[in-house]
Amino acid sequence: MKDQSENFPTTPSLPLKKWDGLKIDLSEQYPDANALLENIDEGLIIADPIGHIIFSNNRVEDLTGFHKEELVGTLIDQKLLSGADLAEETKKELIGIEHGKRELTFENKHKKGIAWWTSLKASPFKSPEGKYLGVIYILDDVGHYKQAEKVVQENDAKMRAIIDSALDAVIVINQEGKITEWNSQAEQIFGWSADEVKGVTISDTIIPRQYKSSHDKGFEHFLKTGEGPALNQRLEIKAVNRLDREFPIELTIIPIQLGEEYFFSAFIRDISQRKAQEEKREKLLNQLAQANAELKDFAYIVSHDLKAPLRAISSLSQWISEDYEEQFDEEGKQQFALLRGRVNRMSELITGILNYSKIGRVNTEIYHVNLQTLVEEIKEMLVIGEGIEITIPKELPTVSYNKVSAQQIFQNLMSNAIKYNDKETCKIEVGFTHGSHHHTFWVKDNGPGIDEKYHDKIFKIFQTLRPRDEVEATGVGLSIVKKTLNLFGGNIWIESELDTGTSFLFTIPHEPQLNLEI
Amino acid sequence: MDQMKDQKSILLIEDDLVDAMTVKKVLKELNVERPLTVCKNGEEGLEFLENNLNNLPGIILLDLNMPKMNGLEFLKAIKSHPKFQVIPVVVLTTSDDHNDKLESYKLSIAGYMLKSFDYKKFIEVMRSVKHYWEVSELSY
Repeated sequence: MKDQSENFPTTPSLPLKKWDGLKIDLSEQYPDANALLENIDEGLIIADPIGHIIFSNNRVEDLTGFHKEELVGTLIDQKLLSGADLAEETKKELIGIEHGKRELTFENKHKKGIAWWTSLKASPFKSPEGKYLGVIYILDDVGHYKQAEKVVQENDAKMRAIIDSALDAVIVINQEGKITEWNSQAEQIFGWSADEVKGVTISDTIIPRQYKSSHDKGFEHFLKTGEGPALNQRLEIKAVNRLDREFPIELTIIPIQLGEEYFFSAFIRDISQRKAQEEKREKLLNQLAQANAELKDFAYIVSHDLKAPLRAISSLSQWISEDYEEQFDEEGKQQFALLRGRVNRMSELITGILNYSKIGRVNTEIYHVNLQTLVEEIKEMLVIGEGIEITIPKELPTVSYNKVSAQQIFQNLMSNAIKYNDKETCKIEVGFTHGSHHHTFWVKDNGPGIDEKYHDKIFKIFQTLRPRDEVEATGVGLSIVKKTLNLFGGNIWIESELDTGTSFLFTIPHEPQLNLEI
Repeated sequence: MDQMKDQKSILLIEDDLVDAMTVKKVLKELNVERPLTVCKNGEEGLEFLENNLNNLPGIILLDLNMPKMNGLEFLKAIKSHPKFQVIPVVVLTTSDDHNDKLESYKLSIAGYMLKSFDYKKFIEVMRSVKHYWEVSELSY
């Protein structure tokens, strides 16, 4: 388009020789030439040197609503630009241009009053001898560009709003490593304003001195090879702010290729607080682990040391009751029997603490354990005399477990079922189901049942439901069972109906993992 | 030889008075009439052995948890001693800790017995120890 307007006066195919100063008749030598100009897709207006319009094509009428007959003889600002959103002086400057060119984009009014976006190019044309002959104006509707421009501007504003409202600092750098974007969060975190850092490298702003050379090398390496191990992932590194204070950040750099050029967007979060909290938490966890370990040792040592004097009391009381038997009356003998009973109970309790504290310290090796054999053996040991029926399925599985622990679990549950049974025939059933991650086993009895409100309590150490003088028990067994199951990544729970019986259900994972934090 | 073995004394190294009494009582009950020496810790035990006036005991009954020099330290000391290392030692302890057992056997003990909480059971334990020294031959 531009070429055409520039070349028009000198193009030999056009009949400039017929130019008479006021009129051009293209039809004489080139009958089609007029039609051509009439019908080209751009609005074309030709004015004489003083500015009077002498030619206007169809497209001009489409665009402006003015017929060529209305326009011919007028100055361009009289009708054509009467509604243009331009200063009067600017309009005047478009008339009779002898030198240079003008290009303007503005809102113009159609004859009917409708606004449209106009692009106007005005350039003088001259005869081959250089005589100034007039001005050619080319008009076009650029509404769609304006619309696109508006969308771009809106999108830009949206992007800017998003980037500026981000809680992370967003920094964009170009292929030269220079900063092109720096959002308000970046201003806050680093103390530099966007205006100050744009065009500066991040090496000179936020990278701590000791990392500068490796940063620069990494950057160059990427541009050469396209490889960047630090890219596209969250990194925890150090950065510096404007006051040269170093602090931890979380950084993600994403390289983006646009045509031949790369640019890099970086998302940065100040994690000073999180780091401080993590350190604090780690410290607490260490303290806790240490306290836990000490407590385990403590339980072990205490229970061990408490036993020595207790054993002495036990022996001495037994000797007294035997050696001085004749000197005691019935009441004295009874009291001595009670004393010995209590001493034994205390010994059992201490043994309980000892065994409980041992879980996780010993017997943690995992082997294949054939539960069929193991449970059969326990059955043989427990079924003495009439009135006990223990049903075991034929195909109890072999599991990966610690054998002593497995024995403790089954033996505790099965002997409890016998110990607390209140029926004439004590019936116990052992069973299991195979799950995708673990086996679920159960030991089911026809005993008195356990009220739901005690279902958690019975697994706590030293908790018994019957007075110890009725049923001698330490209340350690189930707590050991639970702790052992938990140690190997399993769990235990109860299903029970009063008077009908109780099922203890527990899981043994196919791949037990030691959980020493129990 | 047998006659001589019967004359050899028993050395009990035990810090707990009641435990020492228990051993004495059990020995009496089992009709053991050989002389019994009680030392309160490993140090005293070593002093007794090193005293030339004393004959080597036929057996040492050794507690593990003791002040000053504990049982394992005492074992290490005598097992590296050319003269004392041949004396059979039976550990008599409350500790059923796996490590204690392992370390004791590494130091060539003749037996590891748990002091039962129940006196009657303890008598049975000691009866086994008695059988052991009655049938076992000594090298000295």
